[in-house]
Parts: sequence; C-alpha cells; structure tokens
Amino acid sequence: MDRTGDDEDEEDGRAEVQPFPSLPEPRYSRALERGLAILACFTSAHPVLGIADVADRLGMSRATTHRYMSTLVAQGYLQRDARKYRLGLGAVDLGMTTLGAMGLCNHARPDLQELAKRCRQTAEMAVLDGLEILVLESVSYARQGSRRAELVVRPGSRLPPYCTSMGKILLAYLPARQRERALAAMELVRHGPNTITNRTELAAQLGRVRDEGLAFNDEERIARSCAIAAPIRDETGDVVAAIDVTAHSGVLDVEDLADQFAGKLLAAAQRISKRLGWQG
Amino acid sequence: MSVGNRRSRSLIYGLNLLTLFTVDQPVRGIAELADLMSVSRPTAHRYAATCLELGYLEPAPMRRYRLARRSAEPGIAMLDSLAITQPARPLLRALREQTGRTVSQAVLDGANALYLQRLCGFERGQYQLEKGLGGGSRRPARRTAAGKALLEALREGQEPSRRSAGREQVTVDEGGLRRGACGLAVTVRAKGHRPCALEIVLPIGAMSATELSDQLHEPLLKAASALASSLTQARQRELCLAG
Repeated sequence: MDRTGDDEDEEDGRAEVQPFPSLPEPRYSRALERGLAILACFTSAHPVLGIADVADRLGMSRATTHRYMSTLVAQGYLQRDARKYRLGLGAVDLGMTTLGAMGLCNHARPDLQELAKRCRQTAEMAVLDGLEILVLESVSYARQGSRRAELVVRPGSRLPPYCTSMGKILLAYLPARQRERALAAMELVRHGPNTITNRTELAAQLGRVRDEGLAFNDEERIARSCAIAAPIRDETGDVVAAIDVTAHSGVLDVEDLADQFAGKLLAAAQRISKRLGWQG
Repeated sequence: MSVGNRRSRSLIYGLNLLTLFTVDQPVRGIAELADLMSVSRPTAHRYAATCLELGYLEPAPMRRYRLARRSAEPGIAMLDSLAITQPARPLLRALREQTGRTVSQAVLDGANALYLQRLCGFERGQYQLEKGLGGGSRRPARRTAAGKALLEALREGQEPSRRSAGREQVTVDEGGLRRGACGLAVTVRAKGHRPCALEIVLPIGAMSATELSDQLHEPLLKAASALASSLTQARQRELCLAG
C-alpha cells in the first residue's frame, strides 16, 4: 500500500482533550475525518470560527487543528480573515457539484422505484408548469399489456392539475395569490366520471389537501383510475414537486389507497425532501 | 508526512477524491478513483470508505460511489451565512409569488455570476428552463442578466462620473442566458456589503417587451430597493453595536 500520510495524525505528540476520531477502524482515514469534521463546524449559525473554537469543539489540539485548517485554506474550502476562518468557495463548488449531479429526478428515482415495488403499483413525480403538471418520472410495477399498464403516464407528459392527485398537491401549496390566479384561469373540463368542475368545490378540496398533506384522485382524470399524492419540499420548505401512487380502481378504491399506501407514500416523500435539504 | 510542512497530505488526498465526482462524471468506482489520484486501490478505497461512512458519498450500482447530500452542506452553509442572503430570501419569495417566474440573487465571482439563491417559478416553461440551476451555480457573467448588471455596476464604480444618480437601471438580457431564456436584473448596492443583483428569468416569448416592462420591472425594482434598505439598516445596527 502506498503511503499517503495517515500516520501524520499522530504528529503532535500531545494528548487530545477527547478521543478522536469517532470512526474506530484503521481502514478509515483519520486525517480526512478530521478535515471534514472541521468543515462541518462551520454552519450558518456559526459562520466564523477561530482555531481555538474548532479545537475545543472537536477535542483536538490547537496545533493539529491549525494544520488541518491551513490545509483546508490552501484547498479553497476555508478562507482566512485576520485570525478567524470562514467557509470558502471550494465548499460551494463541492456542494453544487453534489446537487447538480443529482438533480430532482436523480434524488427521487431510487425512492420512487422502492415505492412502486412496495405498493406494487405505479409511482410518479411531477412539477407544476403553468396551468399543467409536467410528469418528470414514472416507475411502473405493471407488466406491459396488463390493465394497470394502461394507467402509466410517460415522463414528459402534461396533465391538467385539477383532476390529478399530484396536480392538487401542487395547486394546494401554491402561494395564495398564485393559486387564485391559476384557478381563475383554468377551464375545469370533465375528463373522468368524478372530475370536479366547480371552482368553489375544488378550492375547498385544496384547502383540505393543505391541512392533510395528501391529495386524492378518484376517477377524476380517467375512469377506473385512482391515485394518492404527497408533497416534495426543498431546503427552504417550499413544495417543489409531488409524488403519487396510481392504481386501477377496479382493484383498489381511494380508501384502500389511503389505508395501504399513505404511510409508504409519506415516508418516500419525506426521504426525497430530506435529500433535497428539507430539515422538517 | 505533510505537504509544505504544515499541511495534511492525507486530507488533501481525501478532498481530491471528492472533487473527482463531477456533474459529467457523477458515479465512479475504486479503480478509476485510484487511477485518477495515482494511488493504489486499497488507498483509494480507504478514502472512499471514510467518505461513505461519514455520509459524504453514497453507494451507486455496480459497487461504485456518488456524492451524497452531506457533501453539499458546507456549501449551503457558506451561502446562507452571507449577510446579503438572509434578508433577500423573503423578498425573492414575494417577487416569485407576484410574477410566477424564477427569481435569483447573484454576486460577481471573477468572470462568473455566482447564484446565491434561486427560487424556481411555476409558470409554464420555468422548470425546463431552470432544471439543474440552483443556489451556488455559476454562469459566465456576460451571459446572464445578473452578471451583466453587476459588470455594469463594477464599471460605474471604477468611473464615478458614469454612476447614474437615483435608482438602479434594469438590465435586460434577451436570449444570452441560454437557449430559450431571457432575463432582467438590477443591482443592489448598500454600504458595507458586497454588491449583488436580483434577477428574473423567463422563457423567450413568454411575454412581449411591453408586458415585460409593465409586469416585471416595477416589482424587481421594488424588491431591490427593499433589499438595499434592509442591508443599510443592518449595517447601521452593526455600527451602533460596535460603537
């Protein structure tokens, strides 16, 4: 094995205040763990820290802390301002590579696949795009040619929001003024046997969706199809997308959807939201 | 063993491993990481295992790795800690609510516009225009409305005679941002704070020039003015506390 200097962690010959690192096995890099632990000390609540602050927080000697922080400065992850330090643009670059490399669909895909598998139904994700929803992802558990396969909506499809469960979520969490504007601009055309074509009734249902955090479609877009949807939030808490589970209503009705899938759906929505940085 | 006596070589190796994951190459295996770092596979594996254990990497199919959410946290904390970011957020939210368009706050970072925060609009075409562009992303300044506004403000700063008195001018970018997008931006200057710009981006053709002027100029200028006031007040409070 080539030497990349992990022994250097022992360099100061001084006792640490607390045992460090927390990763016990030798197969981990202690220096890297310490460097990343230093970076994690800088938060929006504590944006500026000195060597002593970090050393005390991590239970490391000041000399060791100084050396790691000098390394982080040289690599652009920290910047030094007099005797204090703050995060540098290297941290932003790494962060944006992380977020850019993943994107909304990549964040959500593994959870949608798991959701579809666990529910044995179709799971989808959509965003609001003007007066329509834009389906970004669709994962089907259905075999081609089966009745359930007829319900599958291809990614890139545009659907009316008022008769889909994801659309109702996205309308419900719009800022009030935008929601009123969108509802006023929409022509509520009947698509399925139970499409809501009355604006007052739709507005009342959207209010309930906001209260409950779940929306339903009971044969409102097409006959023999029902769905349940939940919101996806980003780091600011804004609802940026919705996911749903769609089923054939000949097999399940909306009450079955709520009983059997609401928990799984909400858990998936929460996992995806957390990946997007939501702390709630 | 250390680089320049005072730097940790192991830490540099570990950080370099993280930077080998890019938007174009988001997933990598141990063999390619080792090759790119010029280290043995067990060494590359040790750094990758550390990042995995600490939540900076996550497993990808075929025994490979990709960056995990935790890698983004320091960068997000850095952007959030900037004094100009927090007061702008409610104003950006209100601006998006009023216009339905994607709204952003940006600063100049060399020749690039660095977007500190970006709230995606919900009008038709906004998602497809903006996907992948979030807070922290960079664009060449000359290809964004915000960047152009900031460059213009920089020139005005260097040549005080050019500085227009009174309120800021709206910089309009018609299609230079990226294919299919246009935008308008205004700079915010407050003493003691880094100049920033507020920007609205929308699909080309979504509004006529008259609609753009009628519906977007005024809200944008109002938000910029409110942010300048808020930053000035914050600065005065700081000076009072310091004094």
